[in-house]
Amino acid sequence: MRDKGLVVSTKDDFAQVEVQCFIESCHDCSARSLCVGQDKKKGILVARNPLEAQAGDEVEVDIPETKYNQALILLFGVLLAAAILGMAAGYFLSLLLSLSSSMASFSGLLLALLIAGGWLFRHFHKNRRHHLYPKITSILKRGD
Amino acid sequence: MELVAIFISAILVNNFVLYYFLGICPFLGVSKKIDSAISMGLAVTFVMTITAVVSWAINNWILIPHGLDYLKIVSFILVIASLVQLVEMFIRKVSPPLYQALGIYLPLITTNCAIMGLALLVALREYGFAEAVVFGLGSGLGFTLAIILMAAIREQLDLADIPEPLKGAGISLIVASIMALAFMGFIGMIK
Repeated sequence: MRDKGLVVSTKDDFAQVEVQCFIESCHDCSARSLCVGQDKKKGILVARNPLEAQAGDEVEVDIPETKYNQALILLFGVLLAAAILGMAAGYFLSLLLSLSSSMASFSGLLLALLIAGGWLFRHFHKNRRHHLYPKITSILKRGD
Repeated sequence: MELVAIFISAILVNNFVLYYFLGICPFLGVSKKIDSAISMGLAVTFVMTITAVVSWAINNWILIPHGLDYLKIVSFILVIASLVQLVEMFIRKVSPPLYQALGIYLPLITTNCAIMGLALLVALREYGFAEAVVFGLGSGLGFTLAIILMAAIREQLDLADIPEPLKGAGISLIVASIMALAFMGFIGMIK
């Protein structure tokens, strides 16, 4: 998904881009009125700035929608799998150690979620730190 | 055997969207593409499973032993709101761009009425721990099945010649109602 916008400010490798909502990105979105407000017609995106656009430049921004879905599937898929495995592990451990099965499963769930959370944190920070940010793909018009 | 019955019943017979009509907002709002539907389904399944466990624990370890049954709704609201905040904080820490991209959809996932309905049903039916987990997981998978089916149909509808007045919400509601009728066919499968 692509959108046009105006660079408001830049910092390091990133730029804040004011995109014209209700024109391209948002016109299909059923939650747009909740997201940007009924009377507010512009939204601010933090985008990667490999072309080193400056404040005032009119740019085209690529928003990686498919990557968001993949990231969400990974995020909630891992958490769900960890929750189920944690509860199952807790239950089987309770049979071996003669503990209360509900207490053991609950503890297993909490432990598994902590481990999965830590793994996801490392994964997203190490491998995909900037992977999911929108990216400025071209400068349409230089600012004054 | 009873766990299998609860699981299948939650997915097909007593489907949260198509039988109880709970969680309609994300069902209609995020069912335009199969990719988005899968991610929304997984998110709801995770939140429903965790809600079932946590609401069971609150009800059976705190409310019932202390005779505080009447605080059920208030405590469930509090617990679900806290869980939502935790999930939001976690996603913001794990991936700020994902948090930015999700916008309103994150609260939409986690605070839809299906979650509250699930917590109340777990308490009302007096499920045990394993039953609550299986019911939560089955309900989430039922929601996922319904939203993926809906997304698949809506992707096909983009290519169909639909009368102008029915385009958008009109045809979506008609499709949802036909799906609900089709799912009624599963009634009687499990008593």
